[in-house]
Amino acid sequence: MLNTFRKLSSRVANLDKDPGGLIRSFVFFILFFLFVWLWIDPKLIYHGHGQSIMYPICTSEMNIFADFPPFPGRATMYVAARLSHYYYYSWAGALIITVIAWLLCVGTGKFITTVSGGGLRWLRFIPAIFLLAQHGRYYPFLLAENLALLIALFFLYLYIRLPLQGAGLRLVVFMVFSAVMYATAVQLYLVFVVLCGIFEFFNNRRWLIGLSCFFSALLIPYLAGTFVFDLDLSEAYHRILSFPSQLGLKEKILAFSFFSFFPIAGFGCGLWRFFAEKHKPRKSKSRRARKFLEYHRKSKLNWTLGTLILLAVTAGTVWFTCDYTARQNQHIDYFACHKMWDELLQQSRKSFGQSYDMFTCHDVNRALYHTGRLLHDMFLYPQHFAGLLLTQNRRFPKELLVQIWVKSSNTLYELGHINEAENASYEALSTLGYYPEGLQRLALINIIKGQTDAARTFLYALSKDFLYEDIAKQYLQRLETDPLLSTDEEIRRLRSFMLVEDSINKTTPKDLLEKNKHNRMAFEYLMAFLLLTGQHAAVANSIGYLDNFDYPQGRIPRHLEEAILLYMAMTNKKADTHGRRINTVTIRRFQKFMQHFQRRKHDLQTAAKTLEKEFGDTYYYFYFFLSDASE
Amino acid sequence: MKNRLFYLFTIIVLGALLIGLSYCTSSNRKIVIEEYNSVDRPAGIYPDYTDTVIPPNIAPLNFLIREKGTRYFVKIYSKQGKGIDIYSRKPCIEIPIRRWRKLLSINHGRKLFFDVYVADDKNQWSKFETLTNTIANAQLDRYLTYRKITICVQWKNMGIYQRDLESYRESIVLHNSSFGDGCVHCHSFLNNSPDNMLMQIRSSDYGTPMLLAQNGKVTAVNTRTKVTPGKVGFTAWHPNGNVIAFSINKYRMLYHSTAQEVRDVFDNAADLALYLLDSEQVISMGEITKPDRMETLPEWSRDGRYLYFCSAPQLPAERYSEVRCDLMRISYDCKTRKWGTLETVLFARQVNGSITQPRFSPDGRFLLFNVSEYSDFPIHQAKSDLYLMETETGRYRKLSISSARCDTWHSWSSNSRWIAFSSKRIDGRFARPFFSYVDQAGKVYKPFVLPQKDPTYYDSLVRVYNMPELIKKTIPIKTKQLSRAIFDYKHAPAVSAITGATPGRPLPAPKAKPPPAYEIPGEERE
Repeated sequence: MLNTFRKLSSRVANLDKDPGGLIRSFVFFILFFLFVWLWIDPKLIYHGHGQSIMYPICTSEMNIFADFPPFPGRATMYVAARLSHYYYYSWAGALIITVIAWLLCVGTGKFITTVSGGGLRWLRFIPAIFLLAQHGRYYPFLLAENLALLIALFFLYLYIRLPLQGAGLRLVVFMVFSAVMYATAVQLYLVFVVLCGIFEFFNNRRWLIGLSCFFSALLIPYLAGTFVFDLDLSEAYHRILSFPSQLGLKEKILAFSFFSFFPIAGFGCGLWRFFAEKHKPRKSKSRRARKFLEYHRKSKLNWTLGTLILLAVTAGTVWFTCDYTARQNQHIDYFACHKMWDELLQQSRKSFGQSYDMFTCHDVNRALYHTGRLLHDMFLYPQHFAGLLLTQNRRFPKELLVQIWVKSSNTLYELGHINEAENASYEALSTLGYYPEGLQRLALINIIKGQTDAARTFLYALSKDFLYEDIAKQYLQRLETDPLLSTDEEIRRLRSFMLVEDSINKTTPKDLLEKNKHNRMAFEYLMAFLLLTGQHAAVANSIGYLDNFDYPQGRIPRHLEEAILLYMAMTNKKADTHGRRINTVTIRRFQKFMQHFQRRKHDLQTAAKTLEKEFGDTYYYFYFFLSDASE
Repeated sequence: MKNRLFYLFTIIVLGALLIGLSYCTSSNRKIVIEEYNSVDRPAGIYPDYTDTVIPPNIAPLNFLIREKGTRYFVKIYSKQGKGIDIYSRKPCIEIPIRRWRKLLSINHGRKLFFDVYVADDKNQWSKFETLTNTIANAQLDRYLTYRKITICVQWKNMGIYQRDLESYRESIVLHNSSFGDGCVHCHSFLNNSPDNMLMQIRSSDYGTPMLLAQNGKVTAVNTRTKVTPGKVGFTAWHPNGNVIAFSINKYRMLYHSTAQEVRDVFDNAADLALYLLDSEQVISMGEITKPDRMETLPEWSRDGRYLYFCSAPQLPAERYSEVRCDLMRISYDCKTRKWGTLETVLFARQVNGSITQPRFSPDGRFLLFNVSEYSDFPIHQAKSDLYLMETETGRYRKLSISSARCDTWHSWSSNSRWIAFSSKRIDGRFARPFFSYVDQAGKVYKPFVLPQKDPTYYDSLVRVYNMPELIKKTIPIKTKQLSRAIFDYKHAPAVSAITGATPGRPLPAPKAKPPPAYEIPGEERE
């Protein structure tokens, strides 16, 4: 047995010394790293509050699992949560993913070589390709599972290298490894068990131990669930088969293909070895030597071909499996998070179609407001009134609530809807476990509300995160000298927007506008809401509010002009424009639209198609053709 | 080569040992400060452990010195025994636990002094005025059980924990991740002993069992009957241990548009009932299930003759700010199951607020209760205060220890000398557990926060402590037993209900309309 191991290890070592293979691996992983860094862009995953369920994040000082009872797989989840934090920097995230991919490649190579007896090493790249495909889908994030796979391969490697021959001893060691696997990396526990069984079947030809591996694997969850973790029996077994519940069908298929690759490959390699050894005649040394020389003559060509095929397969897999929609949404989310409004609007133009959801609609409107274009260009983009503030929670499935809280808390805060923003931030913080932006916002909200002590608690919590430490300390320092931050322009402005009279009824931008007539965001969001709900009469009667803001003298935002024209056309009444004039271009466009519309109003579908190109960006087009659809 | 490696390894190990040893001796070495400037004020320390009475069995009160300096020295001493000298380069003072215990154990009833010295960057020491605390004679129950939760409507990361007050050990009693993120709440104990424990569960997957743990066994009780169709809220053990009074509340969250506290809780309906352990029956009666009033927060008098509770007119949610609870009581005879007449102990108007959470001291001499502006759920009030009533005279007073912020969820130690309560006094947002000493005369002393190993622990903790309950020993039930009971609850049969008017008789066959005494206000009382 020992000899077999020595032979095996020397063979493995020799293969590792293969410079062609090493260079190929090096080239592959350099390209892998660059692709992940520059195209997949892990920072998008870190900021995926809105479009993807963000993976729990931990820092050295902030362990979100600390208050939980011990559960199987906690160690892997903790490490994953710690590593996730570094996804903030794309290069660091890419490095983590690449290292995992490389380790998987090495581990798979060792296992494949052992089981197949030296051949089929090219299979080792497949996990890395799967990993790339997985990240190309962005949602959800399976770092804990990938780490669990690494741990499984590590223990498998130890098991393979065991210098023990006795069946009983091997089984005992297997049980110990299994228990450790179950406790630390339960996600891939089954894969470990199956791979050990395959090894025993095909390499050691110990059918009994192989079978015992499978059966004893059933015992571990029971023992661990009973004596180590306080788990219900069904729960103890359920954990070895469960993946994050947020997986969609495609992601599920991908994840299961990835993780079942190992047992399938192991089994395939075992069979390959079995038949190869049975049917192939033993070659003489001289024949083997000839083959060796022949191989080396062709090696450059082989290397080039092999490398090209590898890269082509990788590129093809990524191209085929990548979720471009998710990528676009992640970008929008990232831009919204970093207030990169122009980039957001540019990106959202690419998202028209299926990927344009309520969240995109919400972010686009926010970007339009911040770039001063909401009442001018909002109908350039698909619209729905529920996407404006995302406060109509009942319209969304429960799984999306956390994303709604994250996004709406930003908008509500900017609107001056402080208490609602506070509530949404609490919910997001509690659901996500750790949410640094939420901590920062809650600190500011408490400063605005004059609750400096509470603000300090949030800032101290934030200061434990190295990414936010500086900003938290700056605020804490400022609070020492000015507990209400009364010199801070933003705080003062938002404080002036806050409602004075308490109510338990839902408050709207209208209430905020009534509290402070200079709250421009409340005004624009109110107008946008009125437009989206077809209340152009109310819009026409609100033009007086424009005087409170710095809109160009004598001018009216385009969509409001369109609403006024529609109001006048439909009611034959004059609107009070408070001395402001409607742009002649807007009037001419409206007249033209109405002429076309009158002619085609009996066939609205055709009319919608014909008029979309010329008038698709107008309020009246939305009103006549889209508002019902959006309802 | 091997030898070289061996020597290298030995040198490294020895080096590490030397460094470690020198570090230990330097931090424990005897410091004598001969020259110092006296400062005419006490040093600022956090948490505030000054001028208070502390239990002789409390864990070390580690603290942070809030004075600028480069080195810190603290001398802790009392009349007897060897004092504790702590030298630190950081303002965080960690007191060695063994020496602390020894010092406290031989100085019951005496003063405990803290001399604080701070050195500036020129190595000039300053000595601040001595901080003084008193070590009580009476021990504090060793364990504190509380619910630690995040501020949210979603039931996330919520659990009931127990903390050993003689050390810093905290352990989980039941975490909601054990049963699919349900709600775990309202734990209560019989006579401060964990041998008889109650806990309530609300779970969309497993239902709403009342977990009853007795003598190492856990039962999930299905309390839903005709007379108690809702979910159990607050519970109170009868001193004889055979009867549990409970409230059935139908809470609804309210959200304020401008108030300091965004969230508020409104009780859409609340009634009381009794669960009889020996017969496994639920009983109730008209006086404690009035349709036009809500009755909640039960508490038994120590002689077991009266059921105290809080009651307010049932109002619509829009009039939430008018909800003011009176303190009521009704006599009940456990043997005959006969109810007496309803009495008002204290009207809400007398205290100009809503009276909630009545808790009798185990010796029965005092009744501690809460007064807030409105509501039967004071934890969400920006301000609520603790009141103490002498049961013999009926005299009551607002406790001077009440802060300008919310103080709620109080409980007594088994010897009636200590109270534990949740207070938001530190930052106004997050409730933390505090303790106060109550002397024989009913004087309540300055409270102190539950000590933590890291004195800055509360600074960044964005979770709240609810319902701190003092118990004499560790809970003998395992988490798994509790979660197992929850999983098995689906198979638990509903207990039978009997009428209070005719004790012992089974509930009559359902009629088209139940008798008025059992009518529960509100249709959707699930």
